[in-house]
Amino acid sequence: MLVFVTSHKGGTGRSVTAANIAYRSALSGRPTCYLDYDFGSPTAGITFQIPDAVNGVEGAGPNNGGLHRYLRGEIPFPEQLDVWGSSERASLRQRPIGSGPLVLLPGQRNGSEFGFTNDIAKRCAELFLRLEEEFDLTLVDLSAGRSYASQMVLAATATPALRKVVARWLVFHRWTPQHVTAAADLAFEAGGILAMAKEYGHEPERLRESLRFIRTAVIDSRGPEVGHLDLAQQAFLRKCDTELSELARRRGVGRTTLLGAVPLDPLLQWREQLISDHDVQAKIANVKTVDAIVELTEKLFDETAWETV
Amino acid sequence: MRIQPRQEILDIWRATVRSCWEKGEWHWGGRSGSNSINDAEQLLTLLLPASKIPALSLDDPDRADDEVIEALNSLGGAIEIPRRLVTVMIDYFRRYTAEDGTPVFGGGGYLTPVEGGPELTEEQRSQDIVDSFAVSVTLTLATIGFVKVYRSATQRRELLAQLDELETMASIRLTAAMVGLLRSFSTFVFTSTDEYGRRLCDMVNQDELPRRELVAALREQLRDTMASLRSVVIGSGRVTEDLDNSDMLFECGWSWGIIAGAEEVPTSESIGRQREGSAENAPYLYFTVIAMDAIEDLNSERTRLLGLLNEEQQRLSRALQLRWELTRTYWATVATFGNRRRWPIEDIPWRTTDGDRTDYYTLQATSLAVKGLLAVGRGGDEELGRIAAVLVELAQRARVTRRATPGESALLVHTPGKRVTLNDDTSKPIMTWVVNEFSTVLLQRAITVAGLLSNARRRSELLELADEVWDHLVLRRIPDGRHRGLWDHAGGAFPGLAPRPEAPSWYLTARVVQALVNAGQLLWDRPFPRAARLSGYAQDLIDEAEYLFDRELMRGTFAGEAMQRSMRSIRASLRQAQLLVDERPGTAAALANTLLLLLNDVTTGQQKASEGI
Repeated sequence: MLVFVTSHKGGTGRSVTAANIAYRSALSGRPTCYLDYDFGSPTAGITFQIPDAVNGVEGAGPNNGGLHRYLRGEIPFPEQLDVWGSSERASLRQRPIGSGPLVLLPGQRNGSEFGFTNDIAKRCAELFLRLEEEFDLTLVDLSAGRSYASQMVLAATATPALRKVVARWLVFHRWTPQHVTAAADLAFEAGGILAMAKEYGHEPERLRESLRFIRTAVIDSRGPEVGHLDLAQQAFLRKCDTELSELARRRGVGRTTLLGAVPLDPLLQWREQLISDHDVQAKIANVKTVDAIVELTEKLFDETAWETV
Repeated sequence: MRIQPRQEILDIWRATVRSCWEKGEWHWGGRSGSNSINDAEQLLTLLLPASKIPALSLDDPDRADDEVIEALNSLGGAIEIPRRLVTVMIDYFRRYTAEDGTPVFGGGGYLTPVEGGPELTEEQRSQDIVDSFAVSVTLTLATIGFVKVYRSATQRRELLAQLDELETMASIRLTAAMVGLLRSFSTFVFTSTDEYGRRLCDMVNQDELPRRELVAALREQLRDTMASLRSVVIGSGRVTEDLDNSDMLFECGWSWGIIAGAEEVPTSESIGRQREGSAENAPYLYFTVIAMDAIEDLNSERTRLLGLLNEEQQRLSRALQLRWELTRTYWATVATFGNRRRWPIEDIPWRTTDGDRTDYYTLQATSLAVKGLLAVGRGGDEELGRIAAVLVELAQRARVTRRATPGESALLVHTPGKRVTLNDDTSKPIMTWVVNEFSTVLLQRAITVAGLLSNARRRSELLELADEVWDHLVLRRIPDGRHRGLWDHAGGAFPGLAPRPEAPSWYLTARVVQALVNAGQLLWDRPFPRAARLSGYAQDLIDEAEYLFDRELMRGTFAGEAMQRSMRSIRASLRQAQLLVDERPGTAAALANTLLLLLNDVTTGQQKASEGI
């Protein structure tokens, strides 16, 4: 299964959440790979704590290099880093029993966003096909907004060979009026994902069915985390939350198109790293965050979560 | 009010799902087995609050409240819940449609043999019952409303097809139920000197008038009603006797089923066969009240706003409305006839013309009396207060708010319940219908009447009664096992009266839910009655605060940046208090109080300063 991850703008916690989903997917035994398609800023190595891949890999010569070089046709295949083997984080180094392979395909250091051509789209499609054979989950982290990366993958998935492969889209957004509006805009409005998809020959309705939203850094207006606020503030928050839900519903970002929500978590916010069960035990991370990510991961594979409403 | 309708309804929903939903399947039936009434009540436990209280709606997955979804989560998530409900509803309508497409309205296990009589035959059990017509009206309206909203929230083709099927079935059943109600309406005419006439006169003659005078006065008050009875032409209840004869009296309302010999009602809808009736042509108080409530649903604002009725149904609904008005006026007149000493309804227990007497009938008559009083503009606090007093006394007499001694006959109304004998057209008893809804109906009435009172004190007194009845009902919840949280375990309130039940009574559970919905609407829809004196008091406080504030402004006390902020906040609070003084005088007074204290600080400060010089 191919999963494309995007957001309307930066700062939604898209990459770190996506990396955590990949991590949880591998932990549950599914062979998983993570592609850093954020060409302007290939920083996935930081999240996985792989020293050689901070800001992409340095690779040179005829065989080494990141996704940038592969897509431009400079190398036959991009570097694949085994996260279990190359992370400098102790808790990631020992591959847990029963877990599947977890592989990172990093970008090229100092690489930048580049325009795309038919050749690039073709190589992209070939890569997806190969990965699809090897992995249960291929998670592609696109850059924010209307990017070349999104165009490229939409063109690639429209090719006949890839049409049969299950492809899903996750749009990340924060739970605020501006972000809700922007996320809906990115998905449904002119120049957005559906519109672009149509241009490349996808059926917009089918794509709409395989697109879900994920809310990040959510503060539960009814949860204990607002307990310290004044009564008036709490009442205000609730009302805002209700109005926001109504806005989301109107814009097509309501509950029926929601895959899940990730709570506001300091660890995700400041460290941008994978949350291991050990972090929860050490009380650095919230168990609620981990639960939310595990649930999201399961829902990715749960057909009922992807049925039309 | 101590009752928290929202919380209680959600708890009942949790209990309902726990009891009915097992391994992905809905289980029909309860204490009296599965039948068209029981199963509708089971569904209404979920659907009634969902359709009547916006905060509990289930028909739009995007809008459903989180707490609601959590309560029903064993059915699935927000998206699955309405889908599952659709399958359960479809199942219901299929179960109660005969092979030829005729909806069936049988009473099944709710019907019992007459004392010492033979077991009921299958045919008797499947006879159409007014209770089923009434509950079907409520259920189908809730269903059609649900479908209308849900349809716009989904794009799935197979689901849309299911919704179409569901709406068609519900609509046919609704028409059939309305036709059934038209064919079970009864006008029973008798002379003032036969046994029925004598009983009626005894009941209403609280002022001890001479018989002839009484009959004339009663006929005078019912003159318009008698005239309108001539407009009853379709279905049953047509008057053939000569009502102009000054010795004639009558009763109108609903019998227990289709009246023997009732004509078919011509209709353009395909509701299948209109079965022959066999019921006695006489109104039964229980069935009258239940039919009246259902017809009220047909004419409710929600029904009109959502456009739940098609043209044919609107036509039938108008015909029912006429019968509703006649019945309402008749019973209100009789229940509150003459008023020098006391109303007939205050003379507990109520005696029916067939010689039956029970507190329960008084309770039922209050419902009709309230409707009637409102209609003729007599629904002032004075009149409604008298009804409220009747409710208080009924609660005491039925040992709901008074301690019971074991074995007391007053407890029979709770369990097994009042036995209503159902007669055939020759007045021969053929079946009985056991009614144990006393406490739940009492709760409903108390809440309804409280909502109509415009005096805050009286209202809260009556809500106090509602709270006490609720406390009593809480004791009667099934305490443990799979059906915990549902009703009815009468032994919980009256130790030793009844053993712990094996299965829930949906009959009572649905009535509890209905009462809670009423309570919810009281909080949701009805404005709080204003206490006139409180508004005046608040206004006086505001006036004083405003004067003191203006004076300080004049003196220039608030000049300077630091004081300016306090000044602005005082002014804002003052304005808010003025806005609230009509709607929430208590809040306005509280705001004015804090302002007065603040202004007092200012003046005290000035005084202290002048003392020092």
